[in-house]
Amino acid sequence: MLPNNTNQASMKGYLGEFEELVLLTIANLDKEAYGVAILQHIDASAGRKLSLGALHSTLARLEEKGFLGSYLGKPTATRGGRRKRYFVLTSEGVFALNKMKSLRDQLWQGSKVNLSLK
Amino acid sequence: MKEQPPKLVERLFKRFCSDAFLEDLLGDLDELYFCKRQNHSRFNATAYYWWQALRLLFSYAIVKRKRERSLSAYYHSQKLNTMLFNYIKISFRNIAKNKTFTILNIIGLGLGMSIGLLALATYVELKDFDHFHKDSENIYRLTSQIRENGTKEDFASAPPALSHLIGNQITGLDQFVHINDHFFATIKTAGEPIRMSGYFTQPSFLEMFDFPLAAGSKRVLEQPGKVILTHEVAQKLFGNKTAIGQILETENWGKLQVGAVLKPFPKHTHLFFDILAGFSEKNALKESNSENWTEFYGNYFYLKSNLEPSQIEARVASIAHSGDVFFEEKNLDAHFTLQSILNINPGADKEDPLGVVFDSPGMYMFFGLALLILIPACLNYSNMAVANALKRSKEIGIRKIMGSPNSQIIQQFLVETVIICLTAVFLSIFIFNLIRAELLSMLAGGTSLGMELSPKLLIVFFLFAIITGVLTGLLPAVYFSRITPIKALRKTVNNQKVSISGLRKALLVFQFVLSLSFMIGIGVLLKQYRVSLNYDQGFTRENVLVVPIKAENQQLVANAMSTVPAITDMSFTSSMPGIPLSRSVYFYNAKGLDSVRARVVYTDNRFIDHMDIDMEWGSSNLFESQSVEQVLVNQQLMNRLANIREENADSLLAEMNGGKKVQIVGVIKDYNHEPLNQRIEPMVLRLGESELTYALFTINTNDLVSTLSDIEDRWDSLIPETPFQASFLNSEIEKAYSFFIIGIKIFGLLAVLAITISCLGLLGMVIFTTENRKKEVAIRKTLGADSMRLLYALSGLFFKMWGIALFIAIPASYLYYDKIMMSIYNKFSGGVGFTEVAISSLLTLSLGLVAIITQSTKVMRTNPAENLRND
Repeated sequence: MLPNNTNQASMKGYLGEFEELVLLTIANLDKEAYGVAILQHIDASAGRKLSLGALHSTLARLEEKGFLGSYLGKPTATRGGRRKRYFVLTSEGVFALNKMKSLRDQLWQGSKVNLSLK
Repeated sequence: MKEQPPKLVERLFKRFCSDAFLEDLLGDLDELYFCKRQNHSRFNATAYYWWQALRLLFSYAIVKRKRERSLSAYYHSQKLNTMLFNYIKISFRNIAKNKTFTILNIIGLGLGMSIGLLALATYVELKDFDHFHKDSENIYRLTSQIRENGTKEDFASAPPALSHLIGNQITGLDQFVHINDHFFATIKTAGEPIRMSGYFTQPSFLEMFDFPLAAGSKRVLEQPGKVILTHEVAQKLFGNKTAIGQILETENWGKLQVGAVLKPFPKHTHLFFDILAGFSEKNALKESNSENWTEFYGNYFYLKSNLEPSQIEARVASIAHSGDVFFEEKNLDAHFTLQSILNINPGADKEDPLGVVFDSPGMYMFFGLALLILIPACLNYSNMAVANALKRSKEIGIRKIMGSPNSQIIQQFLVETVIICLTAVFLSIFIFNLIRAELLSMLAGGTSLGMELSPKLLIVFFLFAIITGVLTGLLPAVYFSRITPIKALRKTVNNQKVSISGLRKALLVFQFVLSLSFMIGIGVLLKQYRVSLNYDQGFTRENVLVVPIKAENQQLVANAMSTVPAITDMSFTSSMPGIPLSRSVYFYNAKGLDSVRARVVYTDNRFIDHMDIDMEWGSSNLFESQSVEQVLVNQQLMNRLANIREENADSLLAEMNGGKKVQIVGVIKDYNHEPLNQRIEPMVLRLGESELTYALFTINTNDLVSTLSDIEDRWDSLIPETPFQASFLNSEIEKAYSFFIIGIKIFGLLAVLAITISCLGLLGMVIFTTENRKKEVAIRKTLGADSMRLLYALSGLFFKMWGIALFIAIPASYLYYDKIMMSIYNKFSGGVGFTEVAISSLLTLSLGLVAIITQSTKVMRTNPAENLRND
């Protein structure tokens, strides 16, 4: 047993804000979700400039938690013949996203303050 | 050809992550590079690539992949520690096996590093200077650069005219303070007056800098005639009595009242003062009028602001234009910049510095001296380690055969050296503790440094030891790693290199020269000291008792002591003969343009006769006349006065500063009123009852104890409020030469270090040669060589090197010390003599001889059969 496995188990139920963003981006990209594509999509949609290291750390954690799966694609000419690693949502990932969304909706509806911007 | 991102990154990843899966990550990195390259320069893209790569390298993704690929869960992270632990274990075994070798090395490196520790401690402490002020990073000093015909000079001070302009016209300053350091108050007390250095400044001084008040208010700096004392000065002057409200009698500033006292504050500041006073009409205001641009010595401006320094500089530049006319008049060009107070120590060498400043060039010199001692010690270690190779060769051979790569052998030796250095640094710290106080006492401004051993300092010391260890161990480590296993196991490691390379010889000669010249230095200083104490300075000093008195008691003491039978003669003076003089006056010529500075001594009429001082001309009797004061001058002053008063050289009237006319009634033969290292300066003797603070009694008695107690009894009944203190003039003069003792100590320390280190080096070299010539010695012995011949064969080389060293060291130190004696110590003892040279060379030579002979005889005594049989 690795010493930090217990830690991971306790983290499993939670989905951080950034992790949610990454999962949703992967869902948006569907079959084209690999490192650089995710990075650029987040930059374009959320305006966040990330480092590759930060992104891959998060991806590795999400994979550990079982929200993501990955497979290697075909060799590509543009990256010196290196393969891309594509990420896909697992059913657990979809479930976690749904849980997050329903929690949000519930909280929005229950809000006693007028949250609308109109 | 298509551009490629730097290849190095990929290699780095491969090396760092061994066999973790990286293909997709490297692909992502490359893709990012090409994206960036599309609309950025190659340099930008490469920089971006490196940045991304480094972020990735330390990310969780890599950690996880490495963990997945590793054989055991612990292996990937703990590999380094296991090996390190092994290295340390083997090192300790080796160290325990070669005890002599280890002890010699620890002593050598320990001595070598000790001066380095001093330099480091000074540097670390200086880096900490002025950090204790609140928001110290926002406090700046205004400094000036003055250009004249292309030459540029940096001043720490700035024109007084800026004072009003900056204070009123520049916005965005939190605080602003003007300091003038020309406040030298000399406070009259019994005996020697207390000289204090202080600043004229403004109340904001105490707001900007964290010098807390113990009593009183900072507003006293706005009141004329009131001063603020530091805690130490208040203690010294008034002890535990309240200092506030006390009156200080000063020589040059009249009566000053103590208005406030500071609490003790940290010493780590470049501001150095005993007393603070406000600006007033009387003192520095005349210098700070709005037209005074070009004469700015001693005026400093500090300001506090959270703006960028460049912004403030621009604002200062814009208001400083009004001064351009004044500078142009003198063909000067002025430019003002800000210097953060955190950069003052250690900082650039500026003219007219304020307070305690250790400039960077001085620090470099210090580090240079430290390296001069350290480098020979390190090279000696390498030499001895390599010389010891034969003993280690089996270990290395076996390790290599077992499959250890070169890098592991290198690491093994580095760890060993580092361990030895870390042990040696304890010895260095011990020496550091011994010499710390001495060093501080001789450094100008040493009182601002404490050099206490703090945890921070210890960390620095240990880091220093580790770095020294790695650098020192590198040479032997690489040497050992290159040995091939076959050679190592057949013990033929060193056989082809019997002779010592020229570089090592030069190193040894250099060490000999260094230790010889330090030794000769000690000899010269000792001789100077001896001569100084016995030199006839031109006045009598035997049996003269010195008693400090208060000037107002002078008549009282004179009357009371004249009836003591043992006192045969007495006189009064303002300063003991043989002790440095502090006060001076200026003599002017008729036009008032040129002046001669003369030391001034106040005496009574008996002084000249009592002290047996020879007169050149005239009478030694001064009369207090109403119209013109009568004075005595020495020959030096007479000559200078004659030079500048051509038109009436024989009138014997002279003018002192303040337009005071004096009549010269006698000329004293030049004598050394000050210690011998001061030249005989122009000097004037004046009558002055209110200045006589020393009584000099000539005592002629067989029973000194009862005479002294008799005098003390009379004193106590006369002046009960002042305790009786007496000492003999001889011992007071001896104290004045105590700087020689400090010099001798420093040279002694350096000599001990240099000699020990060079002897260790010699020993290493002798071990190296004798170990390699065992077979030769054995063959010589079987062929019938006697021991003298063998000794010559083994150590003849070292005697030759010794000869060369003597040949270099003697002329060099002769020139060096003679020159130094001329310029600093006012050569009066003949400089370098034959005895010093002979004694010091004999001493170093004999120490070296011991090293050579012990090692040589060891080899010579072994049975030749032992050495030959094993081949």
